[in-house]
Amino acid sequence: MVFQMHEIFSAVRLSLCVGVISTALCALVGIPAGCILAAVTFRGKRLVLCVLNTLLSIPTVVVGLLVYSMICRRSPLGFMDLLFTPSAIVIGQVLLALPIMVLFTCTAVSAVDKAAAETAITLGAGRFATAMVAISEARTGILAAVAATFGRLIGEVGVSMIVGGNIWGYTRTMTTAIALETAKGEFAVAVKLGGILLIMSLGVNMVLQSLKGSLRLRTVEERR
Amino acid sequence: MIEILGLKRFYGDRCVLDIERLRMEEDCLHVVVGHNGAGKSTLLRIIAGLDAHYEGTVQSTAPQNDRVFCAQRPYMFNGTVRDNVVKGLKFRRQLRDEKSVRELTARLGLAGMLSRKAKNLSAGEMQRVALGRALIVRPRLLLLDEPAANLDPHGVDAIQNEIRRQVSDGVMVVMATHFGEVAQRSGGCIHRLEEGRLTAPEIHNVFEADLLKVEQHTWARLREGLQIRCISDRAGRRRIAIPACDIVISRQRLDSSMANVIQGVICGVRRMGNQLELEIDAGILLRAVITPDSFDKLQINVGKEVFASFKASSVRVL
Repeated sequence: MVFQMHEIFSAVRLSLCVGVISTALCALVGIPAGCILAAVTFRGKRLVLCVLNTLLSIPTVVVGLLVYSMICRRSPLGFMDLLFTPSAIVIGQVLLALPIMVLFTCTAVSAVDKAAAETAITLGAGRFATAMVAISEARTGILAAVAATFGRLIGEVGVSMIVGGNIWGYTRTMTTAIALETAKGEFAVAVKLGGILLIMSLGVNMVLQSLKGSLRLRTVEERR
Repeated sequence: MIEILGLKRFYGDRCVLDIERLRMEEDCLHVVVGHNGAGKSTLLRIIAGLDAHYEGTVQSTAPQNDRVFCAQRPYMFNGTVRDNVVKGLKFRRQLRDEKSVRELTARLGLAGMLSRKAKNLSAGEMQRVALGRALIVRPRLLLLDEPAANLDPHGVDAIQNEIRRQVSDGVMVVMATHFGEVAQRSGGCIHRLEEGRLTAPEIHNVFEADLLKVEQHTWARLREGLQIRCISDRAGRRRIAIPACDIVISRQRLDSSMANVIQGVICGVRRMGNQLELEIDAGILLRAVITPDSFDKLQINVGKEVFASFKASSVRVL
């Protein structure tokens, strides 16, 4: 077999690490941003939503190209030597998926009944507590946003290939490995890698689903 | 106490609320009656502090965080009934007292459903949860929008008892309802809204009276030699009202459970829609409503002597 076991492990590890870190960073920025976007009204909000919607379907290679042009040697950020490192992939992936996180969170929070906030206010909740109520009531939607973000990132090739460089054992992710093996004509290996990628994705989504359940469990325990 | 001056609320250019002056005293139940769309909910939401887009002044002695509003279709938070009931305590960072949670939920008939998901309840159950959720924080001012709208008769009794209990505990309660009957029975002070404006409540036979307690009965003395039985814990000079439709007219003195029988002479008959309104001079001027059929059957007319009977519980102390 041309493709060695440790190569597969290395690619799996990198794909998972980069995907999880990027998703976490997206959540850290995107969830608050989405909540704020849902809460405020301003002129041009519809335009912002429209742009975000467009960015949902931005080709990954375009984001890759954009990040490449920012971090390559001759560019302003060239001195940081980020090109062809896992960090570069994370930067690109965060940019790629942030619109998904913001827009989905915004939609989920906007969909919460206006009465939820009013009920909270009349029961004595302060501004912060009221905002937390909206997030808590939208938590199913926000978890869906996290899942969609991860889904987009674990399967993307463009950013990883362009700014990661597909370096053996360093920036080779599952998807770039599949692309490479297919190009080399190692069709069977590529299919196997694809299967592993799907199983990984299933595992992460199962974790997210159980997180939804445990949120509820914790509130049950709290009450006792 | 709530004091409203020159209150106006517009939706677009439609004026949905226009109240020149309204004062609600502390120690009683206030009932806002009106048809759907009369502005009841808007008024309650403004008093609750949930709607700030109005003109005029609304003042209340209860601070904002001591007023709790229960919507007609209450919002249930994610989680169980119990989560919902104690939510207010969490917001206020108050410790919950398990005993009072249990007592309150038992009184409202929620004891058996504490661990059910609140979003799956029926509308009537949600209303009871919403009331419990409001009461647990012990507000000074409780605003209830159609609290009995989706309840079965048993549930209505439970809620009415609870409201009475709160009023006697010193909580100011303002309730909106479109059921005139509910309003009359509640024994509260009625404010009638029609298309956003206050109109005179449909009550007749309003008299000044001195309330006296003799043994276990309460008597209202209307004037020298004329007193009627009523049910009230109050004393002193009060206004009382006898709903015109609660008065039974007869030619002979009725032998019945009705505690009050007043003799008088018919001094006027007027047509009111498909009913007749009689004016009876009995030392006081009483108005009674009867159907034209009964009028013919009794063979009465102006100048005839009749007896007006009504129950002690019909007499409302305002």
